[in-house]
Amino acid sequence: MYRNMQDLEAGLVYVLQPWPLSLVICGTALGIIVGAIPGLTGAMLIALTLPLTFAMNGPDAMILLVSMYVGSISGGLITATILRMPGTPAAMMTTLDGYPMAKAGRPGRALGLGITASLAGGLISWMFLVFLSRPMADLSTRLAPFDLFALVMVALVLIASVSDGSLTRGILSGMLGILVAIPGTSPATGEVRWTLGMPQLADGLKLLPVLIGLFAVSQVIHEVVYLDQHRERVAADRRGIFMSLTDWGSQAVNLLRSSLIGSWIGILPGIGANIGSVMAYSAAKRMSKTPEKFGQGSEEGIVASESANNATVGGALIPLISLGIPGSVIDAILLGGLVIHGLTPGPLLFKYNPEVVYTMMAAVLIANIFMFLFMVVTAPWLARLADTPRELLLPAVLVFCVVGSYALNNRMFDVWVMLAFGLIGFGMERAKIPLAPFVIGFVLAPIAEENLGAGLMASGGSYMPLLTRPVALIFTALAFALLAWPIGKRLRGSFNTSKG
Amino acid sequence: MTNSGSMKPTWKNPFPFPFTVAAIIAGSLLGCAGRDTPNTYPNRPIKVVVPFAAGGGTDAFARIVKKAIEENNLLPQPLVIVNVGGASGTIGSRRVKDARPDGYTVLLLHDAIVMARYSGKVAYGPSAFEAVAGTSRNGTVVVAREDSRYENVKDAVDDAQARPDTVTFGCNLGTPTHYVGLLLERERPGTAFRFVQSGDGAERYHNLKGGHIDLTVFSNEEYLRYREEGIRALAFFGTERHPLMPDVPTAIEQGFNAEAGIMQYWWMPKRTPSDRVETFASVLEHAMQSDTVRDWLANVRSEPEFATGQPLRKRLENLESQVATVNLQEPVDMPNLPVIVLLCVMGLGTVVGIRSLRSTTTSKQTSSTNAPPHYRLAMVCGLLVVAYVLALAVDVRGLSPGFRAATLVFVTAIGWSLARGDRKSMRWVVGLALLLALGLHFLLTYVVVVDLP
Repeated sequence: MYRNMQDLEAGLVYVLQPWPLSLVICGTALGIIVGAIPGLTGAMLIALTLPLTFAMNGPDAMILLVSMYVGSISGGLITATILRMPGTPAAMMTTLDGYPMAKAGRPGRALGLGITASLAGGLISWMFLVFLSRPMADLSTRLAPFDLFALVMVALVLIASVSDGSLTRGILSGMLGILVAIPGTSPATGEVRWTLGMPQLADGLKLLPVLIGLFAVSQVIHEVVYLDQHRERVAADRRGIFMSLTDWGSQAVNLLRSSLIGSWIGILPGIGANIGSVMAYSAAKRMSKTPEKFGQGSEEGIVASESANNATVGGALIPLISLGIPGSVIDAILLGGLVIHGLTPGPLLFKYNPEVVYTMMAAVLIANIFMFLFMVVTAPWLARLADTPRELLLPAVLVFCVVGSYALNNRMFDVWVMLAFGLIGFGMERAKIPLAPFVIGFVLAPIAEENLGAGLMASGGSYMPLLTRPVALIFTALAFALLAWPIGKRLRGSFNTSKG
Repeated sequence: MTNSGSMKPTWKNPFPFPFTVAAIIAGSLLGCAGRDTPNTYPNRPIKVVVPFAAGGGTDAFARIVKKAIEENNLLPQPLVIVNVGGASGTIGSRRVKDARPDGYTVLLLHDAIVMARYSGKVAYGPSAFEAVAGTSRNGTVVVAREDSRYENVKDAVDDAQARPDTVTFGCNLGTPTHYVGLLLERERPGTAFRFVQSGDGAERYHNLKGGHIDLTVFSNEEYLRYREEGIRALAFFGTERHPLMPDVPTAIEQGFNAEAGIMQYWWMPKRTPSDRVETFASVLEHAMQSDTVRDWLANVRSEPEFATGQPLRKRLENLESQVATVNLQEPVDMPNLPVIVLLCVMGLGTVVGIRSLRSTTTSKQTSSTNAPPHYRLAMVCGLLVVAYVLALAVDVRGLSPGFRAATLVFVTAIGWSLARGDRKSMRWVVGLALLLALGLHFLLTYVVVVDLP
């Protein structure tokens, strides 16, 4: 432990020098701006920046990339709140409450809650990062494929219950998401299926075009169709951007819980910020005294989502550093960055390159603090995006959507996919089918399938490990309980009403 | 309350500003000016498809070669590394196979390209490509946990023969890691491992350490990386012992006539002009001699071998005939997920449909009736977007309008339809169009390199 602190101190001293510090500032600011622009995500920014870091040394490159990671996860909340477009996938849950609150005339408050929660989540998960990375290297190897499969099932059931309104619609949406994940190559067997004769579909549908379509393009369509609708102006003020002491008191438990959930979800390999924020949100909804406010502009909802998604950053770096296993899309790119700079990720990194590990950790801390300052100062300005005349905003958003979908894989097919999902998203909204479970189903389906495949192969086709492995059993039971509880409640409710 | 309803939208005067027209023309000229195409190869960046996620060994190798090429100015144009991962490299290889054979799309894929064909994942093998060169060679090692009861590979095979289908062998199905296990089975009839899909090197290490698999395969480099972390090498699959791990016996010493290495091959689509293939091969040959690549290869314990032309073809033929002796098709006992999901969606969809039909009869007029929805305007905008994407997708040499011009026209047109002729905001729209067209082009061409349509 003493060794830890000493190395961390050295890391901090290094990061606070002028050049590394300017990298942190540039990276975080760029991350926030890109995160705030729908259609551009942190993953894209970091992937595109990676070639630029070849000329730098390893620690500097990681400082820049990690700062962008922190910034981009945070920046998403601005557009999520003001435009109901999650600037990054991780800010999806923030749209549910941030937008209604901004619409109700309290955008400064909504942004302030989100920003402060982001900082708190980032700092709490940073503590996890510092203290857990080493021990995690041993523990995390214990999760078998069936354990992960069961965990994904829990997440899937949870997301269906998060969606407001009807549970049936929520599950339908999740199932649609899984259905859309099926074309392409099976992650378990490698067999190519459902390509409808299109060779491009052998790659499957990519997350980014689907997401941009569902959230950004469908929103643009909505804006155009209802162009003359009277809209409450989302004023760009700063009223309430700082949380008061009473707020801290009333949100303390929520902040802590959500940050813990975010950190832990981040730690689990392969599951990233989106799910962390979803889980924290639904946990907050369940524990809340006013669950009916969720989705209508609940303060707890914003705090839960934003603290958890920022907490996953620190959390997700733990498996990356301690095992060389990425915890999210962005971590996969960071992993590539380490390798390019001749740094072997995994347990050996601690042994042979402690300076890299601890400069990364120091960069996470400084980037979080700078993120808070930058956002508090510029959020009202960034929030003016909402006041931009539609004829300026919508064409710009569309161009970003097209360029963003294209740049991901350098192919036009993704752009067509994005446009198609714009229409699908618009249609789903009209049919009152929530979008969030769709995305989660889409993201989780391949993870679930891959782990189920690996588990079944190891067990020789038997499902028994789901019941015999303690971790898997706990998760399986949890998934069933989560599914049965609302249905049971509904049945009892309808039984009562039919009686009365 | 100044609602837009009070202001009559003006639909006339489609070209309100001479300056709009001038701007569009200027933009088109800018767009065309950037497109001179001399006939020397290469005159634009060459895309190297790495069919694995960023961060793997193949990816790192591609990037180090790129670095060497740029440091030594071996090519007038940069290499662009594109990661197209998934399904043991077949997604990326298929993309290159179907790419235009112009020498601007290259695939970097090791022996897995042969395995993929014999595992039935894809119908094509090396003969569907032009083999450019083979670069660098890495050996393979079968490993177990440190506390395993297997001291060497013979123990493991004995056990797998005595208790067939119980010893779990973690591998990436249909890749060299799977092939190594099959070679052992081939050498001792009656042996049966239980192969488990365990992903890439880091994931296999994780699964081995966690006790989820009994055996797995690492490259030299992976083994040497994890050597101190609680694993034990059972056999090295080279013809003789590796100088960096002299204590690891070869499989041949233990009585198994099995040898397997991993060579990185560079491929171009079939019918790529042979002069382009040769140009790229000679660039690779020079890159392989650079200190950058040599140091890196020494660091990851790979041999800096290089093969092209006839020797390369010979080597590939030899490999194919070896792979053909084993059965790489591993049946996976998966439930039919696509059908299950489809049935669920249909069932739930019916329920939701019936419910909403019932509820619409009771609550019809709940939506806000503020202003009539602009379906026609939306249609116009939709058509504009489609036209824009089509304009970007046009790929006939010389006819492409270019990113800048297309963006300029698109933003102006869609802004105009949304502003509905409002002069004041049109000035802003044209400004924005110019900013986006030129700014994004600059950003994506000079600051971050994306190959723009």
